[in-house]
Amino acid sequence: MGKLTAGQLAAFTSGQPVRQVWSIRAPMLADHSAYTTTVLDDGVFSAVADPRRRVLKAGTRRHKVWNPHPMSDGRPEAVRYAIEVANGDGYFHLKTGSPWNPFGLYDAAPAECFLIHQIYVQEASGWSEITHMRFEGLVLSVEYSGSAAMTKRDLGGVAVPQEVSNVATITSEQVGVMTVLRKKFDINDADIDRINYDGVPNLFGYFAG
Amino acid sequence: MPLGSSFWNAAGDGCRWIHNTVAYRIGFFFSGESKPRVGILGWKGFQESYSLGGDSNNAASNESIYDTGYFFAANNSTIPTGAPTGVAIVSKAIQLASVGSGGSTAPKPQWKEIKIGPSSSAIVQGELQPNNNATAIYRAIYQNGFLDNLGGTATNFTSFGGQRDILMRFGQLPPGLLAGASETRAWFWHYNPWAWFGTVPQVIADIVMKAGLDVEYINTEAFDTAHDAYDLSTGDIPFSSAADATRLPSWPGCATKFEIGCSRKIGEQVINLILDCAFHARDMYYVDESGKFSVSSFTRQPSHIGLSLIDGVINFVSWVMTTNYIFNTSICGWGSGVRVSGDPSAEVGAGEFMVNSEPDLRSYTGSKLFASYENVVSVAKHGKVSLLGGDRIVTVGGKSKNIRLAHFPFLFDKHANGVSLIPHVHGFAVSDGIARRVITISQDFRALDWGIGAKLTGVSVTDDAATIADCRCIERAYDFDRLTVESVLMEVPPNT
Repeated sequence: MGKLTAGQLAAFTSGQPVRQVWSIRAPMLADHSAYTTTVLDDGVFSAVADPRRRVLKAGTRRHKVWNPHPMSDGRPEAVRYAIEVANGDGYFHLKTGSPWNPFGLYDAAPAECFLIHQIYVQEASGWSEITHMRFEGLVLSVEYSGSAAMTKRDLGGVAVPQEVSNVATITSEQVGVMTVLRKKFDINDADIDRINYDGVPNLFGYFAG
Repeated sequence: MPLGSSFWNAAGDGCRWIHNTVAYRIGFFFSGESKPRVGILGWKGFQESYSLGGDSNNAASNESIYDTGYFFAANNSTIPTGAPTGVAIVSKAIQLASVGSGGSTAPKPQWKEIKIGPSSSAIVQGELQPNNNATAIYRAIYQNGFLDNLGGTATNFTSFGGQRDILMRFGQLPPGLLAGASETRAWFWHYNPWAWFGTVPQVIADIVMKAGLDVEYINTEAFDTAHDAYDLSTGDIPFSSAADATRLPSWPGCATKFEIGCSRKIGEQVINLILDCAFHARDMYYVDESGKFSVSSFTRQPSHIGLSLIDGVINFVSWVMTTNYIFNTSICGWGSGVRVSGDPSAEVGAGEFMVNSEPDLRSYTGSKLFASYENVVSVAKHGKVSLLGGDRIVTVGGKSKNIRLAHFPFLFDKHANGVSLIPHVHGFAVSDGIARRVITISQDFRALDWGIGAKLTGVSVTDDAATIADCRCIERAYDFDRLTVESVLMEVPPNT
């Protein structure tokens, strides 16, 4: 009946660790025929969770029923989700090697990419994903803020001071359904049918005085 | 029966009324008249023509809102170029119809006149959009507030069969159809607006799919459940009572389910049509946590049984006993059609209404498609609170007054007992007149066991020692920094 397995529910009840994973799914080609997913923060300390790119603020999501009662005059709203990520090394700037173009094949705009958020809980057998909570939202914006000085080494090994924004706020929206709901009906969306269906036009539409 | 794979695989054509007809047939042609008539067999619409009383001073609306369609003729066997973009939208009233039977005497006016003329010219008072086709297309425009049965009768059309055969009178015809012309044939075409017929969740699912939503983004299981609830023999039928069988529309296809028929308006957003449909039932619609379009059937099984303060509740539980959801009075209209201004010479009974101002053609008068309901116990306690609707000016007992009318445009139940239909449509007659709890509760991630739209039973988290039998989760906020879930639960009071 519930959405959690018995093991997951028991894990939450006993306070087992929760792991969150954030990724960016970006088109590899301009025609969006292929995508690649870059893990930003996998929630455990590993190679793909560079401390400089950690999610600083995991954010919130709010879901509402559109029509809870006939006396409520609700309007559907798209669910939005925003995270703040560390950007101390400028990783989230638009460039080759960023999540927007990890392989240097195509410079995707963030609005072509998706933010993915997954939640896991630790069971005895390992990490167990809460699948019904998997979120995938189209990126609406990336806002760079804050500033920090960092030092990079150039090819000659000389230290070069550099100013970068150290926080990137990635805002996304669950657009799949809302895109359709925002459409407007058009006169062209109707059907035009020939009345004579039997393929013998002069039996019906035909008239000779 | 669940909607099933055939429905979901149809990608929006599962319950759409394709062609809105059984089978088109040009069956009749009167060549000797100055206004030739053409009979078409097999027309089927959602609503039967309203049969007004003989003394009714009915009037056509000048503000039809639903796209209905038109016929046109052309000496071309393929779809004339540009025809789909040449749809005629008549926003002004034109004359009442002289169609509906094959006899020489027109039936009681109930349909606007069908006229035909070159597409490049203005037709009567209608406002036509230009047709891009260079070749003149001759159109017979029909439009009222809603798709309708054009109302031919078996008596007049015995040679052609059913009651839904129609006869259209054309103002003129293409040259090819005129006696002695060199052209010898013509083809008739019909512009069909999108329209749907089915249970409310079925129609809504079909609308969004037709509008482009992939079935992958739909919680098909939830829609199957909601759809099944309206099955008369096996479903739970929200708000059912022993009288349910008598409330059903006597319309083909409606014998086994509670169904609606809807058409869209041009320029209308998909979401508005969906909300209009949803108002006809009590299911809740939303996008769930995984991004799927979903529905919570009002009569669904519980998502979670038993919620108490030991279930991961942290921080707070706050609750309010609110009257925000109370309504105890409702005046309802349903269907769409002609506006009725009433008969000036007739005295209106105390329990009757005459609609003096009907801006959007959505109502009716008298005791047919206009009914009221009042929960007197609740009114005595809370005062009159009307169900949401639009303002109307009516005459009651000879005096003009404003009312709030709740409109159900997609019901077509002129045969049903209107008064008894109201609680069926609106909800529990008693429970909607009662104050209810709305609870805000914060939990840890144990709350992930249920989600938005969930039904919870045995909720015991308020400090009034109540165990609430039925709560619905109408709002959820997930905080992924604090790993908490804040839920808003709306009580559904017992209907006793």
